[in-house]
Amino acid sequence: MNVPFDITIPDRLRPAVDALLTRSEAIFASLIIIFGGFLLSVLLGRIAIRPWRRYLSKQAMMVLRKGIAYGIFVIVVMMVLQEFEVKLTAILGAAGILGIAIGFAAQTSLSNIISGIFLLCEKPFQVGDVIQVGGERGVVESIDMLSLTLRTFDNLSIRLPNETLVKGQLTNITRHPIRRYDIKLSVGFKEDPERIIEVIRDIADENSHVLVEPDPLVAFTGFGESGLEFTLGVWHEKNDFIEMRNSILSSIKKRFDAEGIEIPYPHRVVLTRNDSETNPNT
Amino acid sequence: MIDPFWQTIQVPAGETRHWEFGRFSFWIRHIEGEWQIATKMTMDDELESRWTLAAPAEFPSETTYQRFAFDISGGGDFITLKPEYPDRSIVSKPTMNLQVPPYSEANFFCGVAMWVKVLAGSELAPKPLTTLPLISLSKTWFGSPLEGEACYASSTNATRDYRNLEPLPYRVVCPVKIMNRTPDPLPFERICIRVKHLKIYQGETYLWSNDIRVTKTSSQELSQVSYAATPPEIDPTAVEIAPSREKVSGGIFLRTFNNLRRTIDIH
Repeated sequence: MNVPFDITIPDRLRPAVDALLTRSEAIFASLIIIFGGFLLSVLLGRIAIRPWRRYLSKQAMMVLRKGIAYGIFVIVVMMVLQEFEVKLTAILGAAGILGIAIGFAAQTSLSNIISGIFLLCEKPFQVGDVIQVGGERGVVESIDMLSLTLRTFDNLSIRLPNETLVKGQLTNITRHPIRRYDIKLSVGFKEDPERIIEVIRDIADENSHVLVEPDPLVAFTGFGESGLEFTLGVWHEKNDFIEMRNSILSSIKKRFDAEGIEIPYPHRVVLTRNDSETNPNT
Repeated sequence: MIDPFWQTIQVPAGETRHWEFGRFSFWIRHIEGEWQIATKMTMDDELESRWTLAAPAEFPSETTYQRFAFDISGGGDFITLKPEYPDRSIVSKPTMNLQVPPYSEANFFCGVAMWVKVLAGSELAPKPLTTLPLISLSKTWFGSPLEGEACYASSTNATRDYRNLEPLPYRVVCPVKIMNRTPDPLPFERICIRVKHLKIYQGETYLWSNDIRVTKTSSQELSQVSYAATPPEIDPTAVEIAPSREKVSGGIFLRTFNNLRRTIDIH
């Protein structure tokens, strides 16, 4: 036996249902636009920009991908609103006024965004570089619209606003493939400077992490408070820094001990009044 | 005549073989499902011309060693050694200053270090274990501090007669012809040998590389470099024992000489 199927719509919901039925075409079109927009965003973000990988840096790719996603999102929203016959001129007018208000309220954010664009154009560093900003040193993990994320060597994640990077001093430690590490050395006044230079040069030559060229720098830099002062500047590949520093400092200590070269420590000669009276040189 | 060390030999489980190339020695021990490699570098210059190939020996107990584990049921008990060049270009610096006068050419012979690649397993399809540097090379940089190439450093007598070089199983003699087509003398302070383009040939007495021809046509930094695809002209009957890692067709323009003086600041 067939039972007639009857749906009773409450009167209070009838206007909404009627509106839904009359707008069904617009709703369907909107769903297609949203789906199409999502698909386009994925395709452009992943596939279409792939050929540019060779020419763009990692952070430029990251920003380009985000820019494409935001741009498509805005276009999709406008198209959906048009489907529902919403007047965009009024919304854009309102958005202009709102934009001014937001602009005043979000000066810092805008400053960070603009600084981010400057950093992108200037390219003072790339994702993966080791940089030092203020007192913080670490590996650049990501560069976003507003900030940069730095991972320090003790595995902390630091968020630095883009504005601070543009305003302050920034040192890119791994920009160049080789670096020079300068070691200040001090030896006793009684030592022969020429012999010290020879010994220091020998230590640098024997270290396998020190580059043969550029030549190590060995310089007698002056008479210090406690002894003769020298500088040893050794070049190394950027990835060899820790091994090089450990080995060369250890070699200097061992070799100086073996050669009987005194590494002085700050000392003062204190003369009592009686001593100075008896000593004609004082 | 150099005894070829690039060979495949059988090392049954429980046995050890010892190789000695000048100051560098290594031992390979085969135990069930595992290969162990120990190395030792001595500083004694007198050992430079000594070599031992695959001699039965005791595995050294006092040195650390690398272990390579295999499936016990599979594998095989063969060790294969293959000669190969170091993984970076070599910057060779003449021990004495040398110049090639304007519009002149000259032949030199430079010694190039050789490494050995160790493979183990079956006789026909061995698996790579490691590469052993038979000569310890210092690192160097070829170029300016801003741009250049990480290389190994070596010194050369840049001898004009290859017979001045002692035949060694771990050294390849590289014939270099330098043609100076400029009106200025060409100071040969250091030369960058891109070993990835070099092959290894076994000659009657020496191990050879293919010929390198460097032509300097202007006073700019780049030189035209060509790597021959055939055995060296000096020993055309030499037999190829290792191919080049990268082939070069025709000549390429490379920075080969580096005579720039750098200014170094003290901070």
